[in-house]
Amino acid sequence: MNNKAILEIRELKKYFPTKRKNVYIKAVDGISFDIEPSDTFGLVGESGSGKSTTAYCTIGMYSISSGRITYTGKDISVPAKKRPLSLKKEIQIVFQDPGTSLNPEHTVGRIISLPLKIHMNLKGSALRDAAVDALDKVELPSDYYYKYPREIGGGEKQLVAIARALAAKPSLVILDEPTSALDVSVQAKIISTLRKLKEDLSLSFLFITHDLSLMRNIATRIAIMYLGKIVEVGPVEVLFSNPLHPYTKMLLSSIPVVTEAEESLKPKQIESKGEIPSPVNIPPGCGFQSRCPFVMSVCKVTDPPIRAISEDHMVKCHLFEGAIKT
Amino acid sequence: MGFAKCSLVERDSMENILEVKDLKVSFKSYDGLLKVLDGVKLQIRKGEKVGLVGETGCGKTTTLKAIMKILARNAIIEDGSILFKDRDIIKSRERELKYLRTKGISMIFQDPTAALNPVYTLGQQLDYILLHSGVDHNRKEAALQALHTARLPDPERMYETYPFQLSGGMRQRACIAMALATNRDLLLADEPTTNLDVTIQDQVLKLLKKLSLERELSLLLITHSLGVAREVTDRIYIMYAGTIIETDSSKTLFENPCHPYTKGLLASLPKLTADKMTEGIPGRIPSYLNPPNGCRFNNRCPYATDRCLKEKPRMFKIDDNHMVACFLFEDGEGQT
Repeated sequence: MNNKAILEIRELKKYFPTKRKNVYIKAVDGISFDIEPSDTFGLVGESGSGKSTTAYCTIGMYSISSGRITYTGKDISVPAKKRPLSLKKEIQIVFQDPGTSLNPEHTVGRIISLPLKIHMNLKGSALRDAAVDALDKVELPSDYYYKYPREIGGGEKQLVAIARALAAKPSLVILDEPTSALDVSVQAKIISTLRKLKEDLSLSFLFITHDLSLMRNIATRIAIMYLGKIVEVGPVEVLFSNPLHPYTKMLLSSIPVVTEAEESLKPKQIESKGEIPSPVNIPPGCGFQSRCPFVMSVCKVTDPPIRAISEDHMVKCHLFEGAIKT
Repeated sequence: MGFAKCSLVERDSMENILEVKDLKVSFKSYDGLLKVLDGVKLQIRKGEKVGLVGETGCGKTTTLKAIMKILARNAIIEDGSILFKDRDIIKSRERELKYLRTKGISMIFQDPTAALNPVYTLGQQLDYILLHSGVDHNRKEAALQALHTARLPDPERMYETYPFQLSGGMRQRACIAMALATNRDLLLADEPTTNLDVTIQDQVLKLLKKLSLERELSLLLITHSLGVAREVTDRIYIMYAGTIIETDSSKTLFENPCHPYTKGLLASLPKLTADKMTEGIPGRIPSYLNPPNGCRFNNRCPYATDRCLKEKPRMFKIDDNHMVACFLFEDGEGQT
């Protein structure tokens, strides 16, 4: 166990009940990972793979079914309602769509003031100054304090959402697809702001996205999720230069790219087929068997455990059964 | 040189299936007139796959709706012409438009969930489309064939399926099946894979590409993703604030972008090569209420001169395929 990790997730499971008895949607089905201080940990996967559920469990929006989440050694496996205020302050979240995550009836100033009131106990002019300061951190002018979300652009709204998340001075920020609703030129601005803030405030990020090219540029470590499980995890350079799991290869080979240099980095031998199955009633064996071009008879019977290929590169696939930790 | 000349002649003799000339479209609003399209010019040859790329609000969908003549009621077509097989769509009457929409051009929309009728099965919807496209006999067979062509598994069962029983990728395939149920000359696809996951996007794009090759179908693909446009199309038009600013063959455009906007866009794109991303392009798309005079990019352009503030640049030729609307390339040589 790594005791310097800022966030440790062990065997996290989140099952949602369905109308039928004893039938569950296994959104997250036993995942473990660590986030170390000043890491940008990327969580990649298709819709329905359980990325956002993992984020919501970590922040405490969902109560977890089983497993353990610890923040700097303190157990936070309880929903946010039962967490102490001092721990809630440390983990903040930025949602995907800034159009719906900001209250349209509140001014930007009021939106940013709320975490300052709750976590910093600020009042009056000190509160106002702190809110303007928070706006200044994300390079928004102070007159935005009086504006409403509808008056500003999509990128600026997301900057407000980031300012709100950072107002409480957290140490871990969860970014749930923060730029997937935005244009590329705006995305570039948000990403560079996030980079700067991470450096200045020594933050750690849990960065969720389906955009692998973006991951390549911002993450330090990446976990690939499929059907509620992590299928491959490793440092970003290793995962992109030596992807092992067939699903990782499939994802990489599906990315539309713009230059020949990029094209040469994509694995060639794999063609994407099939779709992610429903997380209700997952058949026995490996979750990826229905789409895997290398499927073997063992894949249909037993679900492979996640194995270490090298020090910090792990993969969950029967193809690497013989591989031992070096 | 001789070879280049020969290919130029051959290209000219190839028939343009669609030609949009100096299209200007405005919208009436309470605040005034929104001058959205400002002289859009594009051509699609028979069997050619063309991409129209730009960011949100640059007029891509407006262009597409103008081609289909399904613009909103407050739209005014100020100027220009849209020639489909040498007939002007703008001047066409309702009866000709019906022919156009049922036999000539078909369309795939961004959100397949909204494009499909939730209370009819795929079979019923396909049947309706085939009926109005003039297929009188064996419509069920034709529908099953269409479902098969769009690579939907088990067409017999799909025929009886309602859209809500399908995943997003399957729904988009169903839309493709409907768009291509009868032979068309031109397919308009408006961000057909934006809502789909990357592996599903890959499958849908490959299907579109394959079908358009097999049927010599012309394709106009609208997308905000430079990568998607490059993978699917032969030629790309880059659009900014209601104007076409650059066009080149898809193979070479991103290796040698010329317009400052195209360059800025490419530089802000995250890449697999992990090249450093820039901070994006400063500023934002101008308001269509009173767009800047001259070049519409002048307020964000690092190279803007006095001339750019007054005069709108026409398209300057870089080579046979490559054209750019920027005064930096006026002498045709290219400088930065």
